[in-house]
Amino acid sequence: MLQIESLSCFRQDRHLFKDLNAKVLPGQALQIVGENGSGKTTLFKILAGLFEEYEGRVITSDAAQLLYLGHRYGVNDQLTPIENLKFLLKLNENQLAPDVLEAALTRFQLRAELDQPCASLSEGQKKRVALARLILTSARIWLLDEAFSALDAPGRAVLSEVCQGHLASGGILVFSSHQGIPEFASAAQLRLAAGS
Amino acid sequence: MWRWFHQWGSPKFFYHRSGALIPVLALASGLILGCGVFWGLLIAPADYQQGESVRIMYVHVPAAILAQSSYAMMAVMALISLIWRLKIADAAVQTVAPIGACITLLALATGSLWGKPMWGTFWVWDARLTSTLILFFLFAGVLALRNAAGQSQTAGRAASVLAVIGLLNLPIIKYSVDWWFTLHQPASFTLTERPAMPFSMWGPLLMMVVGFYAWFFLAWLIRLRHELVKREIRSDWVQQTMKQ
Amino acid sequence: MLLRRELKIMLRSPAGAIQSLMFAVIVVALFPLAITPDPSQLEPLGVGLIWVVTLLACLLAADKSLVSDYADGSLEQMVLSDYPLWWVCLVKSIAHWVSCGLPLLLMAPMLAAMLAMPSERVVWLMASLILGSPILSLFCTLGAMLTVGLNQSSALLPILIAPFLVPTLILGTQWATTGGEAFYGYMLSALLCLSLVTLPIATAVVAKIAVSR
Repeated sequence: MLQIESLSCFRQDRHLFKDLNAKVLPGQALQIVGENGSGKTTLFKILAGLFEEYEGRVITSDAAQLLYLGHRYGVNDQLTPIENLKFLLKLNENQLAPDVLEAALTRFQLRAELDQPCASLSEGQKKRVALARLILTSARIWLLDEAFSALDAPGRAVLSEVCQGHLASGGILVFSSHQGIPEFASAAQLRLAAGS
Repeated sequence: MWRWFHQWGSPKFFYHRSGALIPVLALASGLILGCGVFWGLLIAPADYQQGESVRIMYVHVPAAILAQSSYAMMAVMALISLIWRLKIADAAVQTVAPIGACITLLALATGSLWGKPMWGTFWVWDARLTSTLILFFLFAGVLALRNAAGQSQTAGRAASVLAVIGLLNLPIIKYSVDWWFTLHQPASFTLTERPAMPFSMWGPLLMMVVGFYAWFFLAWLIRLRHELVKREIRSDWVQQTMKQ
Repeated sequence: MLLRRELKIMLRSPAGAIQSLMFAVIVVALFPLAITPDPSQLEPLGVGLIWVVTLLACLLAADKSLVSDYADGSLEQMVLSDYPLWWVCLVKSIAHWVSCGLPLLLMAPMLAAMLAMPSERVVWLMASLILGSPILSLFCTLGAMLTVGLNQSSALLPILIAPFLVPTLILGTQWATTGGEAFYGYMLSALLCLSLVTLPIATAVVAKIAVSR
């Protein structure tokens, strides 16, 4: 469970957002909606525990591990997709065999690029390297900030498949997106009004 | 104790209560500094070795003492703002840093002016001057970081960490500079540790020290109050205070 | 695990390490040109020069790996990881030392030869650098963490950190020039231990601030 209670955040003496309330149960998705500059990224950082200047409460059920993917998603240019993925998963102590990693990357259509340094990959491909982590992680709460942008149609299809699988197994998904994602049209929405 | 701490930690309470201190401090610093300057520059005797130039001491020594303790005060405020997340402590760090840097600069400038008649040159790598110079660099670092990181509270916390680390390092830096100095030239003549100063000299000196402190707190308080209003400009209490 | 990643990244792009080495060599080469080629005049300057150049080269290379970690989001992920944050910061310092302190240390005899240093002093110079350069790396990592993500970060870093390196510089150069007087050796070791224990923790506090920018 993920619960937000009367969450407010100031930045440079203006309210970024004020009195947000939301509750997400296992198997549910929550979409964060708002214009540029309305504080979506800050909200994600607060939920992930990276940003602490806020008032109100964020409650997560204890054992639930968080996985946060932001605009910058942690893919190093010098390392290959396999190495990056291995590193990112190991940060939370998932030990995985190489073929499992390969399978995950293959699902995100990175078969041909497995052993190239990520510097030679396009932005969308780098993003897929980070997203492949979702297939293998044991985290129960996913915080995906703009994960659907910069992806082509097949990439988005795989991502939404993976997300639906996560929800079906009782996971929690919080995401933001400027485009509507038809698969999650029924998800609860949390609207951030700019300049309140 | 905690209640008291909490009350003074609130910008509103602080702003309203501290206003009364300004005239007191202004009067005290004006009076004490005035008397101290008069006593030190006109009445106190000239040194038999250094002559009239010893009078720079009445500015240099208080500035040097104040420079160090203002860094300590800044670091303590920084520690408070890091631990208890008091907004007012963060504002205190921000407002005291420029004052402290200026005082340190004053200590350096007067020290070098004093050096001219004493050593025949404006700058000597004297242990005290050197560690004051490094103290100035530490102030400059806090100011520069604060400046580069902008106005946010996160910026304040980074500068606060730097100030605290600086305070912990200050004794190490001071001692190492002292070793270095004694190794290169055995201490012959330091600026302040002089044998048995007569009352006619340390009297005005003490007065100047007290006057400098009073002035320092006055300047700090005025800047801090100004900063608090600026930071809380949207809040109700500032709006109400401004209307009155 | 963390360290392996750092080293791997370093080996794939060795330009950074080579740059700081080249910087040190060139700066040392400039001094005889500016002052005098006379060995008897260069010799007393040697230890101090090499120490200052090492210090500057370390400061110059301080923020390279952290800036890229910050820009690609790895730093956020490391802060959120299950590893203790002080350990992450210590690994960053070790990586900095391997990429910067260690090559400079190995280069020191050559730099010493350029400055006509007698060989028994070179030994003590190396000893002082062995104890001193890790302290430089620990402080450089702290500085890099303080300034990462800021506008003029590379100009800011030396201003913030150089004053803190004064004790290390004094003790290191004194130890080498006095030909290994035990007092300075003990003090330098004590300083190293103190820095090793406290600085990763301080850097961890700063890292939390850095990712919330």
